[in-house]
Amino acid sequence: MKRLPFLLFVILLAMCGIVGWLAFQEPAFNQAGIAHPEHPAMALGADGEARHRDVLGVGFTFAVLIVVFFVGLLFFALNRRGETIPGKGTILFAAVLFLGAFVALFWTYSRFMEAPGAGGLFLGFPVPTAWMLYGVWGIPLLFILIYVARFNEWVFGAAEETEYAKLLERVRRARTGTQPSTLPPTQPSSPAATRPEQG
Amino acid sequence: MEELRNVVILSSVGLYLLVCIGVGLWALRRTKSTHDFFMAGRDLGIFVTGLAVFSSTLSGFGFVGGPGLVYRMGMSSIWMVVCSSIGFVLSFYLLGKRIRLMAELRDSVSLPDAVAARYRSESSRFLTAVAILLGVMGYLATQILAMATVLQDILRTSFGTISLEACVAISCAVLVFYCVTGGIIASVYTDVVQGLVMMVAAVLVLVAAVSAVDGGFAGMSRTILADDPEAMSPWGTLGIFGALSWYFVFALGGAGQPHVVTKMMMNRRVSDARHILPVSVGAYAVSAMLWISIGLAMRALVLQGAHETLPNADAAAPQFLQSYAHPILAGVVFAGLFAAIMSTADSFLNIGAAAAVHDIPRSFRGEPVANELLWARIATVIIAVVAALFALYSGENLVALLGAFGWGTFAAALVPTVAIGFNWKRATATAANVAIAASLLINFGTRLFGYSMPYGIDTGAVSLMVSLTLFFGISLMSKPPAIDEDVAAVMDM
Repeated sequence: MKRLPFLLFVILLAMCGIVGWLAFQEPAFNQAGIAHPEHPAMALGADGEARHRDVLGVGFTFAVLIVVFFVGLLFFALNRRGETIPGKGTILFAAVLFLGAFVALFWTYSRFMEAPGAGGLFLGFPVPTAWMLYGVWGIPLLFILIYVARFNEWVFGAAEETEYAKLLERVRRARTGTQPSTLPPTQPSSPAATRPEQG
Repeated sequence: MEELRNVVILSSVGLYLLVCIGVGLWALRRTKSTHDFFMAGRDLGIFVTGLAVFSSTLSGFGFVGGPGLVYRMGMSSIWMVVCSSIGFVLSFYLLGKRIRLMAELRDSVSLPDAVAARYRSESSRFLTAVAILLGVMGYLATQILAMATVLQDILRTSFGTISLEACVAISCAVLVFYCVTGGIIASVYTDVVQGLVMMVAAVLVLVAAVSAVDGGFAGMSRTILADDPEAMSPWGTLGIFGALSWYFVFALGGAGQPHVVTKMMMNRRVSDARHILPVSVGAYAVSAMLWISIGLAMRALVLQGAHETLPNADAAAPQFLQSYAHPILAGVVFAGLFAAIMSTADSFLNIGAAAAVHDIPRSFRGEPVANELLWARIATVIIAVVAALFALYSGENLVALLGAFGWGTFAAALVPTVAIGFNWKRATATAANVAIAASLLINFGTRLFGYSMPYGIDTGAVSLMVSLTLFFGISLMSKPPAIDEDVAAVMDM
């Protein structure tokens, strides 16, 4: 857990670096689409290879950084007392599948880009688009399943509920003045009353 | 039935507005304190909170702008929908438990309240409230303008052209009525009605769209592929970086939307978050079908020559409903459109009033104003009136500027401060303040000077990256901050 914030910081620096690098590239004529010649409210992507061939690898790196950053944030959220991350293995397993969907999307797109429209349709959409819709959209449902199934163990269990109830009781008593307390629910406490950083 | 189309649409919208007024009157009796007005007494059930979270997330943009973007750009804007699964996951993992614990512990009635408790900083409270108020004014103005424009279109067939001012007055009157009388209680219970209407509308539209094009989605894909394969590729016409930047800012940015995060402070039990997450994700996924299906169907129909070319992309949804939807379906969807707009607008009114009446005065005076409930109701009216005037008279560009400014600013300002800061004890108040200030500067600056990023990269995504980098960097370089013992205990759970 102690290294996680540094890792997230480095990922963010890398993402900013990619955006900065792109600002100095010579963009293709259709980098962000062009106007449709017949339908004024429509845009065209035009030649995919012309605009993506030189930046596909950078785009893939950018996507991987986003996925790793998101998964890092999930670990951040599950951390307990700055020391342990319950369910690390299960989250990592789902994360690998999530990343796998992006790998499949980029791999199938690289072939689609070279031979537009080739590869047919899968459940109504071109194969790389199907990976986006069914893979990238669908696989995070695993994280929801984990949240629902293991909420008591990994997110907020009975022991914490009891601990929280006691804390709340102490704070409420302190607020109403029925019991002396060191807790400062409405006023900042002295530095001595705070815990040291653990994360 | 066709000759009754307009009557059916008007009746549906009228009935929906009457239900909203009814909910406002019912909620009036349940709103007895500031706590009820801003936090619904922290007593909402799973289903109500789940639908309120989802319907606040999906605004009128999803019902009109979304299909328009798909018509214009192909699959690019679908990344804003695809990101919803991981987006809700991030929001609930990061905040579902902690924001609820913190709100109860410190009896918070607003997000800036919780921020002030976390960072022991009135300046952080003030900056958070200012960011919220600025974003609210922009977002609210665009929602009011959209609502009035739709009403004007609906009324035109039966009553001739009615001025935009009158339409703003009619639509705002209902919105303000239930927000002033019932506060957030009325807001969340109308959200339930609105969420259900949106889901029904989306399912019916999906069926209509698939029936309108031979071969359903496969038929749409083939037609669009034949014209421009890239439009049907995962990146659409915008390209890799534009699409991925939307994915980043819309997925992570959800955890920074104050009108959504505030709802996570209102559920009855902390453990309810476990069930609220799937309710919200499921409802959003169903409603997003409207976004995807209308846009693709209209692009395919126009390319096939079965429908005349559209004058502008935002006409995709209205023209689809007029040409391919049964009058009853059109009525339900127009009511759904109002629902989508109002469910977001009412949340903005409530958090804007909290920022103006509760947080900004408190950051200076250190204590709440006297008779806060009365002032909250007055502030709700004033904010609605100012936003309406702003929508009518500031010029379309300024409204669009501030509307676009909303999501990106909330994301860049509040994801570091709230979503990260509530999970990381090392985060400092200085880092939070710098992140908020940077988000305001970058979002306002780039839009004011018309600067656009290369490769279609979204400016909001860049501002989120920069504010997060500053937040982590400054916190890591600073001394660990002092945190109140009870707050630290909650952050350890």
